[in-house]
Amino acid sequence: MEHNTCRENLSAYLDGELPADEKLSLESHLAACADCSRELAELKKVSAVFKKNVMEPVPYSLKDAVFAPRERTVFSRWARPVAAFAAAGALLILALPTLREQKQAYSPAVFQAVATGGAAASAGPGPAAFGARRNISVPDHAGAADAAEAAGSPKYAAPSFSKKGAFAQAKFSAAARSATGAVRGSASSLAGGSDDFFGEAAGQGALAAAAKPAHSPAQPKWVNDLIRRHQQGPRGNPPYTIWQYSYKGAEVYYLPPQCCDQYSELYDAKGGLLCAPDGGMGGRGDGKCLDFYELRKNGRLVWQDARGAR
Amino acid sequence: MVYNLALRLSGNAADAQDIAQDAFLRAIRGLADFREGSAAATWLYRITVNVWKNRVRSEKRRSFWKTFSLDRDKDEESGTPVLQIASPEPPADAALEKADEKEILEKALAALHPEDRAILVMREIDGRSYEEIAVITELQLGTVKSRISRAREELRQKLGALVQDNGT
Repeated sequence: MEHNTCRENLSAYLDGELPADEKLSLESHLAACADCSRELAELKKVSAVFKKNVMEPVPYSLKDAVFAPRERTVFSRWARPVAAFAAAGALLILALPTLREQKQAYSPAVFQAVATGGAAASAGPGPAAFGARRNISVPDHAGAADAAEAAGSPKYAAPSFSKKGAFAQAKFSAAARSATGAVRGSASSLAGGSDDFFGEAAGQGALAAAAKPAHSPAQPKWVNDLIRRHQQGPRGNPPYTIWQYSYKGAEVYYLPPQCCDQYSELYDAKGGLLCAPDGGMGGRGDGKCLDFYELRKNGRLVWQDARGAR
Repeated sequence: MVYNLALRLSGNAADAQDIAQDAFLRAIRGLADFREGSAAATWLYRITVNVWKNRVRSEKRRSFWKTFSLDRDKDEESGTPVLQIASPEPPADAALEKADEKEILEKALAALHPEDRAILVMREIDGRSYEEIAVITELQLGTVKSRISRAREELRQKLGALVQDNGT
């Protein structure tokens, strides 16, 4: 492969978008060309810097901006229930293809919750359907963890939890709640809510039954710190919860996503951020631990904000 | 994601919110047009991009189009990636090296075509394939490839020492 052709194709190679023959040719050239290898390494760094820094928080006012005008100007008062019902059906149709695509990651309870507009609670929080990705940038997990460790502090640095009260997201579930339960389930799927949202009413009941605000002595200090910080801060929507699982032989802590544009978070026992199992537009989190829902075991609700939802 | 897509297209938070709001409302109103076979996200992104395009047209931002010359389309439509030759000089503003990484990226992004920024967001953050991006933006597949390549190359040059590979 010509040197210039190689350079032109480096970006597509990085994205896995090159045909097999061109890929082989490029790899052959890369093995012999230091300049192209260096450029590829730099493009990877560009990608990493971009991912880490490009996402901005969604303004809190967006939810109101999206739904308030519709209610005031598009639908008359008498037509609201009809429109809400129609929107629920339509949004449900909208949600199903994506749900089907990701069915391996969904528990039957989630489907049931979607279908009923909130009648089932899953054994634990599950992945979002689709919707806007969460507000914070994709973290450079290793970098952040290393920095924290070097400073002698726990790896957990509350990368987004502390922000969740300040940043709003589209909050479609909240708007939908003002219409009907069915709308709630569907609209939250559009926005990327978790199954907590699908089955909010029933789900909360189940969670409450399982919720034993736990401050176990065996619990890592960072978890207790996090709980304390939440208790002192604004409530979440859905209520903040922390789950413990066994995942790939290790103890992990799962923090379900807040509404819409957010990822969930999965931490190791030391508070190091591992990945985002779900949330975001694709409902697949950051894609680094797609097998979390298949492999997780021994789920336990560590803590739920007893104050309820915001 | 829709908001961030709108943000990168419009370049400012106020317009981004308007675009995102408009896109969601159009999506809700236009559900009848949604084809089950197509991905919902692709459909929603496409609406967002179209809302932005309509705004640009309706507001007749002549200066905008002068800044981002349409001449580029000649190369784009042929699908031939435009190779940017790196300047032999060090980054123009050495002080940038010391600035916050995000700040450096924002300055670099500001020099990109708005649509290129959005394309990068769809690729890097949401993992959209080139084909999906082509559908969303109504561009040729080759154009998408060249735009991503060019945008990354521009960023590589502007990010300077931040991304330089010293062989380690």
